[in-house]
Amino acid sequence: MGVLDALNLDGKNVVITGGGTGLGLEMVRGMAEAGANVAIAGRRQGPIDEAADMVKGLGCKSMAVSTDVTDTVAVNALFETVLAEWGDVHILFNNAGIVRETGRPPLWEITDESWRIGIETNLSSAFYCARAISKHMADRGSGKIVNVASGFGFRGGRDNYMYTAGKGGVVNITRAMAVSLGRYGITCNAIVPGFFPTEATNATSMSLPRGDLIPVGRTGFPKEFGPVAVWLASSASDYMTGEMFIVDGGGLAGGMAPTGYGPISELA
Amino acid sequence: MPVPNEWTLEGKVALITADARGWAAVLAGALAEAGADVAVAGDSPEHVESAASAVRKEGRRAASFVGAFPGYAETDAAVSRTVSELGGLDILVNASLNQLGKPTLDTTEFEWNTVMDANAGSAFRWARSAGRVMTEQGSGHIVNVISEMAERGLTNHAAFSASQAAIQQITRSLSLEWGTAGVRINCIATGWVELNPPPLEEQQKELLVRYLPLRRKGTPDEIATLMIYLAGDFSDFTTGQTIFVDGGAMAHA
Repeated sequence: MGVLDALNLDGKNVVITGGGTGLGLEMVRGMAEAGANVAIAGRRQGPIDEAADMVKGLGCKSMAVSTDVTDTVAVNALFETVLAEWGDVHILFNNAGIVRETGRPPLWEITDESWRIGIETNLSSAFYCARAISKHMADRGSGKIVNVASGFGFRGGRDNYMYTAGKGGVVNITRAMAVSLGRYGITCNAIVPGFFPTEATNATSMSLPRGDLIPVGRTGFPKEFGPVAVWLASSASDYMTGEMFIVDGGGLAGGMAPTGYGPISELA
Repeated sequence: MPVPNEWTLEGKVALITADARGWAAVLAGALAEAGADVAVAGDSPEHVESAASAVRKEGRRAASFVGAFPGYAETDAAVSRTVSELGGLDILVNASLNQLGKPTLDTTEFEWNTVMDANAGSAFRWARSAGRVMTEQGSGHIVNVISEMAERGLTNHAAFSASQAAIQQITRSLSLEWGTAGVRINCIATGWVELNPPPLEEQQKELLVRYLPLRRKGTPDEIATLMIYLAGDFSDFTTGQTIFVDGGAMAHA
């Protein structure tokens, strides 16, 4: 058996939140191509139904479960449904998040409601989902939890509170879960995407880094997301836990200086 | 099994450095399994040959360069020979380390210079030699396999950990310098990884192992697919990064 066999996800059951669109959809595609059955949770029925059809088209089982991930009753029901149908959940992808609801108001204009929804969606949902399924994983003695954080989990964004605070929380809850759940055979890691133009990011007015601020000189292609998701979901990554897998074109490595900035000087 | 087609290194040529830990055989074999032809360079004939034979066992072409690589002349020559013997150079894996664990008060100037040169100096030279070909052709992937002591300190490891941090900084800077030239460079930082770790019960007698969240040591094949990913075209948006494969050690406070 070669090392690449470890990437096989045949017979593995995955639950992914926010899997109907954007990068979530790319992760769904990657996992189905690697042989996994994928349960897709999302707010809107249309996109998750289409994603489920795509998975079935690739020869894997799929279900689309309309779920508000900020509602713990709905989250618990999601996992009960998947367990009732498939018996096992091996992999959880906490991908649901909202970049921004509307506009970019100054701090003093952010409402309680908008703060609450932002934190609930970007951070609490990952906790709710992990809480709902981790006991099942611990009882089996194996499981993989993959959170989706963001470069904004490591640095601030201007007029950007719920996303940066939520993603910063995701970074550290990933470490806490890794340290706590390792003894039960569960690993927990996070993917940290840089700027990938998707429906959600395009719909906002955020001032996001464009190609000329990214060391590789371009934004990410959504298809560059699937392989990393497969690796983190598979046994190939079994010795990695509590880590952040950064896929950002070099953005975090170089701070935010413009691409190519590098003063020349001679030794004195 | 169906290997996801993103993971193929078909048609690519890799150059990997081998040291006495024996990891290069595992990693070179994995590169070959993914479809690459592989050149192996190192100063131990035994370890270079075992890595080359792991490549041939996968049905791929191998080249071996046994010797010391103390300067640009030697690394440039190995890169040129890789290009002429295997037809190109797409991937460089720096998998060779020189470890030193010694109280700082006893560490000689020679030891400091040696560990810095064998690790940071060597990684820099190999990257520079490979980078000349890669920036010219507008593509290439460099993977530096380092220790997580790049980020964490350790008693008796002041020189070694500094040499690892230096590779991390070389990686970050080159990711910026060569980003628009199509060259990607990343590190895989390992924790307590061994070629043949003792049985689990034996390992867990060590306090260190019980401290690790996964409560075990890792093996080189557990970094193999990550190396393949970082060596292939589907990681083209990943650069300047250090990815830790360490059983959770870094997640601790």
